[in-house]
This record gives sequence, C-alpha cells and structure tokens, in this order.
Amino acid sequence: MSTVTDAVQELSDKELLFRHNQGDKYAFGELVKRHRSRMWAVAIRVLGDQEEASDALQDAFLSAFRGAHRFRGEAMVSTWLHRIVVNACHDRLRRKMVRPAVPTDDANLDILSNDRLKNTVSDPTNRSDAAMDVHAALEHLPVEQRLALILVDMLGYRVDEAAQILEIASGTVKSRCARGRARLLPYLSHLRNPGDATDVTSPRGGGRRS
Amino acid sequence: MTSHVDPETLALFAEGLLDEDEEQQVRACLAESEETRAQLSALTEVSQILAAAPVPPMPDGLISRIDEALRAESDQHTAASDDGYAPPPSVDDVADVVPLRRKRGPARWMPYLVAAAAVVFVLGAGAAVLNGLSSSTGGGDTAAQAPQEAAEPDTALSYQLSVVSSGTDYTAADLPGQGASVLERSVVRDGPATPGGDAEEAAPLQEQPFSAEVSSCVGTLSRTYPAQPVLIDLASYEGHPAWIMLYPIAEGTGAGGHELLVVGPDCAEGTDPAAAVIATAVIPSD
Repeated sequence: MSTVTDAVQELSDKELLFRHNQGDKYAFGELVKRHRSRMWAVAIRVLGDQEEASDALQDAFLSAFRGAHRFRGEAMVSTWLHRIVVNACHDRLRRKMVRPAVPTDDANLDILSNDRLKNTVSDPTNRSDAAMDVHAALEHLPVEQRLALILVDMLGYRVDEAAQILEIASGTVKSRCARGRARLLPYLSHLRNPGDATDVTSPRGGGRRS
Repeated sequence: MTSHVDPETLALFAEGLLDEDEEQQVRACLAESEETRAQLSALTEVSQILAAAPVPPMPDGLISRIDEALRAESDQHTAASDDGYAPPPSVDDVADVVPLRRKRGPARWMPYLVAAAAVVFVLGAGAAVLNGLSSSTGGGDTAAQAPQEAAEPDTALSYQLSVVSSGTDYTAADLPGQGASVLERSVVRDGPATPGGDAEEAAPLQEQPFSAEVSSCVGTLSRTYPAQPVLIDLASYEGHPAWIMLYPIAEGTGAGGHELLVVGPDCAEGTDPAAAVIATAVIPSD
C-alpha cells in the first residue's frame, strides 16, 4: 500500500484514470501534475486573461475529476482532458459574450491590450506585449476559428489531433485555420518583419463558405 | 480575376482546400503578381507569429488552488453518504483542509452501493408493480420528471422493457456471459411473462421501477442508439454503480442477439450520449 505513491508515476494516463475511478486518491493528482501546464497553455491562449484562465482550468479539472468514469477507453486521456478544458473555456467565452464588456473595434485595440497589461501581467519584458497583441487580434475571430488556430498554429497540435479535441473533421480544422489566418492578417502586420512590409489589403471576409 | 486573389482564398489554397479550377487561378496569380506572392508569405508569417507568442506563466498559487479544490471535491465524495448531498465548497472554505488519510479503493464507492441497495430494497418491497412499461404508464409520472432529453415523443416506451437489479458486478472480461445470464433470468428473453422451465437455480429477477433517471438516460442514449433497450440491469461494472442496457440487435443484420451497453448512473444528466457509455459488448443469440 505504501508504495502506491511511488508507483503512480510509472502508470499510464489510462491506468491512472482507472485507479481514480476505483477510489485511488493519488491517481488524479498525478494526472493533473502531468497535464496542467499544457492545459494552462490552452486556457490562457483561448481566454487571454489570467483570472479567467485560472478559473477555467480549475473548472475543467474538477469536471474531469467528477466525470472520469465517463471517459471512453478508445480516446487518449490527454485528448479527453483537452476537450474538457476547451469546453470550459468555451463556456466562459459564451458567458462573456452575453455581457459584452470587451470592445473589439480597431480603435480600442491598443487601450484594450494596455489595460490587460496593467491589470494582469507583471512581466516586465515586452514579450508579453506581443502575446497580448496576438490575443487582442484573436478576439477578432469567430470562436471556432480561434480555437482551431490556437490548437494548430499556436500550440502546434497536428490537424488530426485538433480535430479529435474539437470533435470535428480534419478538413474543417484546416478551413477554419485558413479563414482565421486570412482574417488575422491585418491585425498582425505590425508584428511582422519590417523588411517585407508590403501593403496587405484588409480581408473582406464573407467570401467563401463551404 | 487575374491579378488579385483575396487572402481567404489564398489561405485555403495554402491548405490545399481549393478545387482544381480555383487552384489553377491562384497559381496563375502567384506566377504573375508580386503582391499575391507577398500576401501568401504574409499568411505563412501569421502562423509563425502565432507560434512565437509566449505563453504567460501560470500564476503563483494556481497549482495549489487546483489541488485544494480537487481535495475538497474528493472529501466531499467520501462524505457524500452521510447527508446525501453537500453543496460544493467554495475555494475559500477549503483553504486549510487537511489531507485525509488514504482510503482503500472500494471504500469510496461503498456509500453509493449501500444507498443503491437501500433504494432497491424499499422499492422492491413496496412495488413489484411495474411489470414492464407501456407507453401510458411510462410517460405519466416517472418520465415527466426527467430532463427534456427524455421527453421525445417518438421514444415513448410502447414496447416491453424490463428493469431489474441482478446484483451482478459486471466485469470487462465477462460482459457477454454475465449479460446473457441476466437476460436468461429475466422475463424478456422469450417474450413477456415466460420465466422459462429451467429456472430452478436462477430465479426470475424481480422487476424494478423505471425511474426518471433511467428514463432520462434511455432518452439520451436514443440519440446514438436508435433502438430501445429491452432490459436494464441496475448493477455495477468493475465495482462502480452502472446500468447495463441490453438492446436487441436488429433483425436485418441476420445476427440476432443483443448489444450490451454499460453506462454510468450520471448518464441521466449527460448531454453527450457517447460519453455516457463506459463499455459495450455483443451477446450472440444461441
């Protein structure tokens, strides 16, 4: 019995989840330890706000804890966890949209990111400047495009992995990414290398739908 | 349309999502227009900018905050049997929770099993009333309390459905065998009310009421499994409370037999039918 804590680190994610379902008090903690920084990366990139992302992450782990017996063996545990985190973030975004406190037109973009910096980020380097600019730009996208781009472009998941997490077809992931990139183009041009600052026309949007 | 392509088309082109004609047009544009080429590379840079954006670090204290919330949740699980239901504690409430001593596996689930057994006992004593369900009795008082998922009119229970509680702890290894045995002991096997001649050692199982939760669960599952179950066993699976649902396999397949689904009791509140299913098996007809 006393060796369980040591052994727990050797177990696969699936075994940990199984043990958790059997009442092992340490198994889920180990899962959290393994996945939390990845899950944080997802949450903070989707939500862009430390408080919101923290709450979402906690919600997600709690709901995974409670719903562990619902996990179906054929998926990967990490895919399942990602899905729960994405859903937790999605819920929060939806709630935020019900009470639209966030101005997203261009005139307000700078104010917005400055506000964010003051309130939530104390990183003195300007690396977070770029992060906040990127997040502000992402807010111009429909949530579906944003999620796909975050998973594929920002976090480097393969298209098929993102498709499993989002429970959509791979082709849909690709087209959401493509449309999202096109839409982001004008908002990110100031972060590009100054060398090739070719004038890029603003995307008209609403072009094709398939 | 020779010298300009909009960014969206270009982005779709880059993903290989255009049809042949469109792709030809884009290729032509790229060949002759510097601006289009620049735009394509700008799109590539969008991905690079996104990939390069640093992840803000986890705030201090988040890790312990989550650990504490999970510990509170697990304590609540353990304590849940005492008073039935405890409201979720707020994060502040649990700040100084002391780690509990570890309990061995089954202990955590015992409260649920005991509670389930008590319910079965009470209901079993009072009512062997529901002898399968016709559409009218099922729709009346029990299904009415179920969430709306269950209330789909066309899933009205106009067939013979038995709910039993066999006390079986189903295991992954022997799902088909255990399912077949329970099917044998229930009345559904040869049609209603024919317990069968060889019932000496295995008495027919007593019918259990069709609760709102079970009804709701059937409703949820009906979105994935268009058929209706003929037998539901309120039992356990690998030591956890579970409902074992037996569906007849459609005649058309030629196979006959039954499909067995293991679902968790939280299936009732679930919105995702697929997520509720813990395991499946097929019981061939003999």
